[in-house]
Parts: sequence; structure tokens; C-alpha cells
Amino acid sequence: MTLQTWGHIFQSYQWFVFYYCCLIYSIYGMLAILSYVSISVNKSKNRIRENFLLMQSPLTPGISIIAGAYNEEITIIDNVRSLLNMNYPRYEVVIVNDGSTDRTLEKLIEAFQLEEIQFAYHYFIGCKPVNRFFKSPNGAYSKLLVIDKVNGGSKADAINAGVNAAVYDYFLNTDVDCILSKDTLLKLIQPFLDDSKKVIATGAPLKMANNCVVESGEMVQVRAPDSFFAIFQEVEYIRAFSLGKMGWNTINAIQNVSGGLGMFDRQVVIDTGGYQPDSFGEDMDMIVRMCMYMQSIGEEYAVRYVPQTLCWTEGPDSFKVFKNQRVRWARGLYQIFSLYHYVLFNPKYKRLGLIIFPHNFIFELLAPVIEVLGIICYILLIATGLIGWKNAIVLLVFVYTYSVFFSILAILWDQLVFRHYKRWLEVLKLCIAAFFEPFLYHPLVLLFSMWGYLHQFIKKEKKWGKMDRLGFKQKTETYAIR
Amino acid sequence: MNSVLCSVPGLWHSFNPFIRVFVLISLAAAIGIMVMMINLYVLKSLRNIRHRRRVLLSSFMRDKVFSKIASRVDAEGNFHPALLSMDYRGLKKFNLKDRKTRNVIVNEMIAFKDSFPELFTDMIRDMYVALDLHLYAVADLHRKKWQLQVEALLELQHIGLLLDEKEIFPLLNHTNKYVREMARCYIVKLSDNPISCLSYITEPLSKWEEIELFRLISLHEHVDLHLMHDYINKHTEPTIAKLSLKLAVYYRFKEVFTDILDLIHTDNAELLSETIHAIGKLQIDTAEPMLVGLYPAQSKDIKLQILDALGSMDSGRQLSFLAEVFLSSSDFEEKKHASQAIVKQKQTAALFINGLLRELTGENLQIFRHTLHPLTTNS
Repeated sequence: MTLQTWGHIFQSYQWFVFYYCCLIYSIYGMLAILSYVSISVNKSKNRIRENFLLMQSPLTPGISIIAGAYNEEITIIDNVRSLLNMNYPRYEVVIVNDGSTDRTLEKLIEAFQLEEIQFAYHYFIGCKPVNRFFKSPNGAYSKLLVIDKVNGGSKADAINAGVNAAVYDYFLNTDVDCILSKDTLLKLIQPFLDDSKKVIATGAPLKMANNCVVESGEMVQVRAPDSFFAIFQEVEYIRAFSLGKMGWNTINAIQNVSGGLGMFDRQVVIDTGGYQPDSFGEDMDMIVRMCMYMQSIGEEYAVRYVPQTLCWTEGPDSFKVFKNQRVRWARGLYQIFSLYHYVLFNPKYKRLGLIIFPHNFIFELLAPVIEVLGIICYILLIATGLIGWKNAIVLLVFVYTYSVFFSILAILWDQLVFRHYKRWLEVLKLCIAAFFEPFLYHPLVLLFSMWGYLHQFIKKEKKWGKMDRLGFKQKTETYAIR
Repeated sequence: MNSVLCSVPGLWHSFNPFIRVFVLISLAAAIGIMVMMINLYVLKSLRNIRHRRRVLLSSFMRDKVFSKIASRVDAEGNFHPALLSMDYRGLKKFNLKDRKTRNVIVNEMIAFKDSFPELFTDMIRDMYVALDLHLYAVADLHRKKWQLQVEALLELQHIGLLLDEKEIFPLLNHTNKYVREMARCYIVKLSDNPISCLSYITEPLSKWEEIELFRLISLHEHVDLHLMHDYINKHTEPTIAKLSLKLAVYYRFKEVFTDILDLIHTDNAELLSETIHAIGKLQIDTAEPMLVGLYPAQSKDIKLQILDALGSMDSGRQLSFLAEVFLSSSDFEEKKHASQAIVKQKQTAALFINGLLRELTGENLQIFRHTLHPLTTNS
């Protein structure tokens, strides 16, 4: 092929990328409108949905909080205390010690005066063998059940063990290192009680806890992170939750309920076979299989999101942790499309096959590949002089301004509605981060996504998605870790 | 500067039309970003101004109106309504047509009323009507925006003003579920006979509504329990029948037991489950043989409900049936519920339990010990 033919190919691809970007931005625009509808309805609804009603009613459904713990000795006690102090009248806390090699279990036994008990345990869904069960004779900790099991190598296996032991019809899947709002259960149960369809799962936005002030496992001051990766991830989360998830919520097309915070119908999870321990994206995998199951039994269903931030999690603070996180997420996405490729564009799966999967395939899975190839073409076109500098800059500015536009729209929208940050300076900090995100952060996301696809393609071995914890800023100095 | 400005038209003409579109769109986005950034501070300032206005009006209400009212109540809690009228006429000078002003005034009235519910409920309602605030609420009920309808209903409910039936009844089965729900709560809370209001509901209740109506009815002073006979039957909307069963259990109203027994033959699985639950909670022990007879042909959920009901009845008459289910069932949950039902009757069946405990081995022993353990009674 001549240089000119190559030039034509590159140029055509270049235009394809810009049309693709236009399509993404159009979808973002649509999601922004849908998100506005969803959040407005939620706000109006919240005026008549009084929390005390659930707190006082004997008809309030019970909830099991399930959290897996693997080598969490630094934060486990404060975080379990915080889980035991939720605003909700009927719940239990099931902590699954997934074969920790540090003093996680010993610390739990000491702090909560736990005693080993006989427990009739049934493996409704598969998981590694469960060894022991602990409960406390101290009435203050009567809601707590600790399960000690053989390490399953994944959070999914630990959650499955917890689901088997859970008593109530609904369960909250969270991480012990997450800081939950006290009203988490009251907010997340609402869609289950409210919707005309059968709700199978609910979720809520997550934010970074890195720079926030935490007291005895409770969030006392929300601040935007300072560290490089965490602040960009905060912007990314706000965009994904406030625009993306809330927009999809309006048309009942949520793709995923985050592994950090999600409430599920326990029976549907059991009927679906539970979490897949060998999955890199066990949260999305779970939702996909739950949707497929509901489709197979012919029952109308919904996956819902509430707009209030209810969970804060420690974001990656180092390059290595960030890389591992992104590679794992990319592998999870690739794995889902390898496993459930038959769902894509399949009308049998209705919304799942015709909206959720195609969107994820075109704008999530393929996006890094298209973008990386686009950047290469762009550089080649400029180098070979096949595209004028002026035109090249215009196209670049177009992509950049819209990327910043939607990020800032999401940040301001989130702040205007919920006012999580008490100081507007924090909001300004996030807005400034949005300007730098396309240059500094996004290229790394692309790179690690491609890396993840490659790892999944060559089937590299899987490890527990563990992050080195630094702990949170504590109000009282006694527990200050940094 | 001039040379830059002069070069702009030239630059513009050098782009092909396609690129010009991108330039314009990018420009729109850039302007959008600037507008949003400016808004960040404008909205913040506006919020502060609005907040200050709200605080001023609220403090006026508290200091000039309600504190005077409260000061005119004597030690016995008596006050003179004729004197009070002077105090709130001053409020008419405010622009009550403005929704925000009105909201502040009404919220303050509700807060004051809720602080002294015994004393000022009627007075605040009179004040609300005297200021013609109810007219705005009624006007909102006829608007298309459901949020306004809901807020109007909420306001009227808090004030305690019952409107004419023709205003409210059409809203009970409104197409918007929030309006429907609020109207139902409104009528149930303010009506003299909340149970009778259930007859106007034809659309199913959501679980949330069930919880809300249950609370409102259970807090009501005048509940005519005998009306429940009309709702506990196969012909009533199943969610209303379910709510009635829950209320019967709450009030321990055993007079409806014949109606409850009739419901056992319903085809609605959720209603059947609630019926069996009610039988257990109300300890209608005459239904025991009926439940045992039903057991084999039922779905797993209903079977578990039957086992729980037999446990709640605590009669000691069905121990052999429960033991048979416990020993012969291959389903873990059936075993566990049967075991729990047996253990619930430990006051009357201590010997039976001890005997069973001696004979059990393996999984059965583990389940039984689990249910006997004081720390796992709810597990």
C-alpha cells in the first residue's frame, strides 16, 4: 500500500474517532438530562419519605450487613464499631474473616468479647470451608456474627460465605475498610419498598475517604483528596455516579452495583449461584447474572441507585496500587464479555442485551482500544502532514472542552444538590483537577486498561484485590495513622 | 492585541465548514464551563441571601408571633383565642403569594404546633385558615406538577386540616404513585375513622405505603376494629387485606379469626403467607390441623411460614408433626424452621426436646443445638 492509501486509512479512522467522541458526548448529554430527572424525583420523594418511619415500624424488613476481611487489623475494630452503630432497627453484621494471616480475628475476639458457638451452616452457594463462628454474649454486640473461613483468594468467596449465614431477606455487601453513612440502610432499602417492579439490587455513590476526617469509624468531615490519584478518581467517581449511574437509573439500565456498597435480594443472589470467586469484576458479574436470571423466570425487575453518597472508601495513593486496581477492573470487564458474549445485541435479554451490554461494549470495553489507536493515528497524521495543525488543534480542543465540561457539570450538580463538601474551596479544587484530568490521569487509565486486557488475554493468575491501607485522618489523635 | 483580533476572521475562514462546526461546539462548551464556574459563586451567594431571609422571617415568627401566643397561656394551659387573633394578622403584611415566604411561615407554624401538640393544634389550624393559606394548598392540589400536589397534601396533613371529600377522593387512586400515597396517608390520618377509608383504595399498596398506613392507623385514637371484617376476605384488594391482617395482629383482634380462616384458601401466595403468619401470631390454635393438612402441597415459602406459625402457637400439640418434618425433610431451611418451632415450645415440651436431643446426630444435632443456643435465637 502506498503512503497515500495509509494516509486515507488514518484519516478515515481519525474521523471515526471524532464521531465516536461525539456519540459519547451525546450520550453524556442525554445522561445529564436523565440524571436531572432522577435526582429531582428522588429529592421530591425524600420530602415525604421520613427516616423515622422505618426506625419505628415493626414492619421494617431486616438486613444483613456482610463484609469480608482479609488482613485488616489496622482498621477492623473501628470499622466494625461503625457498622454496629447504623441507624436501622433490624439488622445484623456478618464479618467474614477470610483466613487473615495477621491479627484480624484475634483483635475482633478481644474487642467484642466473642465466643465460639455451634452454628448450623449450609452451603447454599459455594465457598471455601468455614471453620468457626463467633458471637458475643455482651448485649451491646448482639448484632455481630464473625465467621472464620479458609482463605478463598477473593472477596467474592468471603461474601458467599456471609450470604450463606445471613438471616434476613436483604443483605448489604460492603468492605470493612469503607466508611458508611449512618443512614445507609435506611436509604438503600427504600427502593425495595417503593418500586412497582421487583428490585433485585440497589447502590449509592462512593467517594474517596483519603482526606476526610473520620472519628470512631464515622465520617465527620468530607474533604476532597489531596493526593494525585485519589483526587482524579474522585472526579471520575462523581462523573460516573452523578451523571452516569443516576441517568441510567431513570431508564432502569444500571450496569453495575459497586462492590464497595450494594444491597441485594438474598434469595435472588442464592438462586443465581452467588458471587463468582474467579471473576475480576465480581460485582458486575453478579448484576449481569441476576438480570439474566430474572429474565429467565420472566419477572419484571429493577436495579436502582439512590443519589446520596453513602460510602467513602480509601482511594489509591500510589502508582502501584492504582495500576493494580485499573488492571483488575479492565480484566473484569474483558472477562464479562468473554463469558456472556451471547447477551450482546440479543433481543432475548431485552434491556440487558440491547442497551446495557452494547453500551458497555462500545463505550467501556472498546473505548481504550479506539482511543489509543486514535492517538497513534493523530500523531502519525500530524507527522506526515496529512492533517493541518489548525484542524488538529480544533479537534483536540473539542474533545478536551467537552471532557472538562461534563466533569465540571457533574461536580457542580453533585455539590448543589447534596452539599457534601462544606467548603466551596474543595469544590474548586475538584474543578481544577477536572481541567488536568484529560492530560495527566486519563492516559494512565487507558494504558492500564490495555494492560489489563492483555493480562486477561494471556490468562495471568489472579490474586486478592488487596490495597495497602494507610487508615483515615482521625479527629482524635489517639488513632491518627498519618 | 489588535493584530490578534484582526487575525480571527482570517483564521475562521481558513477552516473548512466541518471544522467550523467543531469550533462552535467547543466554544459553546468553553462558555458552558465559564458559566458554571461563575455560577459556583453566584449560586453560593444567592443561597446565602435566601438563607438570611429565611432566618429573618423565622425569627420574626418566633419572637413576634409565637412567643406572644405562648405568653398568653396561663398556668392551667388556658388561653383566649379572641386575643390571639391580633398577633397573626400582622403576618398578612408578608407577601404570602410568594411560595418561599409561605413555606417558611407554614413550617414555623407546624414546628410550633408540634412543640405543643396538646395546646395549639386547633389554634394553629385556625390561624392557617384565617391567613387563607389553605387556598394556596388547595390550588396546588389542582396543578399538574405532582411535586406540588404532594407538598400541598403534606402541608395540609401536618396542619391537620381535613378538606372536603370531593377534593381528596379523586387523588386516592391518582395515576402518580406519590400523589396517591400522600392522599391515602392524608385521609387515613385526618379521618375520624381511618379503617373505613381503606374501602376507597382500589390500586395496590406499595410496601412503603403499607408501612406508612400501618403507622398512621396504629397511632390513631379512634380505630373501629370491627370494620376489619370487611377487608379480611378474598374479594378485597390483596394488599389491603394484608394490611388488615397486620393490624389485626397488632391489636390482637381475635374476633376476625373466622375471616382469617376463610382466607386460607386464597390463590394469592403473599396473602396466604400473611394469613398463616397472622394465624400463628394470634395463636388461633383451632387452625392447627388445617395448617398441617395444607403443608405437603405448599411451596417452600409457605411451608416455612406454616412451621413458624405452629411454633408461635406454642400449643405443644403438633410436636410430632414438627419432629417428623425436622427428621425427614431433606431441605436445610425446612429442618431449621421445624427445629425453631420445636424449640419455641420448650416451656411445654422440655421432655420432648431433651429426648430428641439425645437421639440426634450429625447435621440434625448441629441444627438443633444451633436453635437451642441463646446467642443464635434469631439466626
